[in-house]
Amino acid sequence: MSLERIFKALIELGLSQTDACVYIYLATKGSKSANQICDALNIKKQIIYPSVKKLRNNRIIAVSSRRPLIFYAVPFEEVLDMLIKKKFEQSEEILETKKELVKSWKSVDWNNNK
Amino acid sequence: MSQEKILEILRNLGLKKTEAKTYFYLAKRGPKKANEITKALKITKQRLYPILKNLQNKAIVNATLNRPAKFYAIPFEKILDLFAKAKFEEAKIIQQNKGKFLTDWESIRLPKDQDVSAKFAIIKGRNYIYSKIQQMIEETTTQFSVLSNFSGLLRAEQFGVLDTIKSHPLKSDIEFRVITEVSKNHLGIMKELLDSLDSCIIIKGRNADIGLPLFPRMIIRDNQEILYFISSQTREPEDQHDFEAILTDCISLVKPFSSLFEELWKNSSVIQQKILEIETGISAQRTLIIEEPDIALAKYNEVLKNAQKNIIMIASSKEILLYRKNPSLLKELTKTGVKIKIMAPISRENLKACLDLAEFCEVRHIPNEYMKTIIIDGKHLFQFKIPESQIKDEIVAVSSKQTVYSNDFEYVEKAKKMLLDIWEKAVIPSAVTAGSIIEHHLSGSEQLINKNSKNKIFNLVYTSDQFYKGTQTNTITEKDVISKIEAYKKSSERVDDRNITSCGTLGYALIRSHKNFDYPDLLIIAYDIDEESTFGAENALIMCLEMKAVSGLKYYIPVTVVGDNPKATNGWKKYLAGLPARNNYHLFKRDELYIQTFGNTFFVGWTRSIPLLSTKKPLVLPPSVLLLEATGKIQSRNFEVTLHDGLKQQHELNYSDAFVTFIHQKTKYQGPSTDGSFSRDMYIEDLLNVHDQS
Repeated sequence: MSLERIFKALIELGLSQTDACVYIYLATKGSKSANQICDALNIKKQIIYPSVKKLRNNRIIAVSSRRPLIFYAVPFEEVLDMLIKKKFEQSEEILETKKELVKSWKSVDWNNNK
Repeated sequence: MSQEKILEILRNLGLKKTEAKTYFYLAKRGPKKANEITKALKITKQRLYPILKNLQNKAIVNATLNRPAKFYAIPFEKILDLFAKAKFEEAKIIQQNKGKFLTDWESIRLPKDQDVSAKFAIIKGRNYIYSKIQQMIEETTTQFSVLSNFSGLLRAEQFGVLDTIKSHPLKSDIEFRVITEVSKNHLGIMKELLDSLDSCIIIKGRNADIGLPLFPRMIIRDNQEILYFISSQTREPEDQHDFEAILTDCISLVKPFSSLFEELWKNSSVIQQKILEIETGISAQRTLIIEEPDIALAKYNEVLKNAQKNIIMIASSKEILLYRKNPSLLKELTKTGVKIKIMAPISRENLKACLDLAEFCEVRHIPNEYMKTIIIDGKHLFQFKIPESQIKDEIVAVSSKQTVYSNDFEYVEKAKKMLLDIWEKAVIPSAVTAGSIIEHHLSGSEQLINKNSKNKIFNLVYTSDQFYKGTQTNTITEKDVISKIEAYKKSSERVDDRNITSCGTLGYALIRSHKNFDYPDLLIIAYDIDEESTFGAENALIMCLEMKAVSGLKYYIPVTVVGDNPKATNGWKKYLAGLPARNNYHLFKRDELYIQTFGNTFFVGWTRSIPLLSTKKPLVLPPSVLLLEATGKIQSRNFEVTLHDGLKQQHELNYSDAFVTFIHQKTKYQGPSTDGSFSRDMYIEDLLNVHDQS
């Protein structure tokens, strides 16, 4: 149940299912290479690599400076704070840009060909 | 603004691609039935319904109550408010429940994976190895332990490894420990090195007084990862590319190495003390260095002849031959009740001599790394620093320029304790060598008894006529075997699956039941099969356990086979039909079973436990490392092996004896070279039998 709640919270905070799996795996099992992540989660490299890249860009995981590249999870509390902050910021951003977004919305009609 | 841009905005708000498209379509085109939406978006109904359900759950699409229902979108302006509010609420709820999540998190944090994802990696080249060491230092959080010879330590300084330690942010919390050797020759450089070091590094010198070897060279990080040097243990390779090390994070393998380190650490002295001992020439009270060989010999003879209780000694391989040639003194001493324990490297050359000596004194095998040491009656200690090549006809090293003699009680007692400790771990030689076992054969049906299940009849009736009946076919040379392998690799006929051929490297070792190896005698056969072989490249192991037949004879029967090539699975099962191993095949991942040759050393390691038998008392071999160090001259042989059902194989090998080192979770086991064999060149070919040809 605990794991489910954590998983759900991470999804609610904006992580995809793969991202959440990768993060939980790294956070519980320690530093691992991309190959180790693929093997353990039984997910193809083509899916793991973009996920790892996204998590790195969002500073949810870190990577070693030298080869072979080893990935580490940022502590859970830090990730939680970061994602909560991001969510508040997104909420504010929507309200701040609302007028502009509505204007754009009105200027575009449905195009069946796209 | 384009439609694409709008869809992107919707996706940024948290909608999936098709959800965004559906919402956009409904928002711009008004209420629509499901079939109208599917046509417009060119998607199936099966796909559409979950999308509509998701959008309804998010309250951005609604449905009319009439049938068929029409779906309509909530105005964009409203959904912006909705999303802003939802995100705010979500963030707020998670923030409020943060404490609960953290508690959940603590409860699901599993202990770090031990062996499931543990792996081996080989690092070649000095630069890569030292880079890896630096990375290991950076990742250290509690303890960093190094066992290195002096040149290795010096090289580490040149590569900036010691600077990495100095600049480690957690250095005050980390225990950096180094065990190295110190000698008169490099005393000056060692002192300079020590002056430049940070106080956070504790260095100890090996206890050279009783010749404890610096084996193996290794680095352990936080008891989680080990870098194990395969290259020469005693000297640095000339070429940087000759540097080879194995890295593993298999905790079960790191553990025994950590224990080895702890044992050495306990028995080593602080380096400054060692330096002082060398500088002053006095290593302990009433301990002296005798420079004059004649005086040393006279003293030694006098003490030896007057021995009354016991003698424990570390001898060289050659000395065993000399004792056998002239055993009178030792024999006389044993007649007067003196108990003699001799430890020496045992090989094919001196095995007979060891067995002869074992008739009146105890003899055990130790690796060829210890200094000649004798303790008589627990009161007198002699150490001779003499290279093996200089030992000729004299038992005692009279040419030794430095003989250490001590009768200091505390010092001799400490050395005796260490020698007895080595003795306890040393292996007793046997006339039954690994070579003789591998050539042994069964004839006729036999009922086998599994030694491990308390002499109950093992539920197997081995009906094969013969298992390993080796028949020497003709005399061949080393070149013949190499040429055969080369010709096979170039041949186009090797694609014929009926004629199964394997070439590569083969090693086998007999690990005898021992105080530190709580298993029945175990014969391990390891194959490093080349990719040109019929089933492609493979690492494979066959484990054989000693079993007693009803007739009373003992046999080593294959009980487990481990491979890492799925294509070869059926091949193994075919060869092992009728044997316990037939039903005990385990397919490992490539990085769970590591077999490779490094110079004269054949390395075998596995990171997963191997079940040996499925009896009432399960017998499982934990992750372990087996090292076979080739010694003696290379020999060549070819022979025909008859397996079950008349299946025949032709074997051609270039092989030599090999000292055995087996490291598993409890201990480091070291066996004589008569218990190991390393075939650098192996060629095995199935001989087509009548059935195949038809």
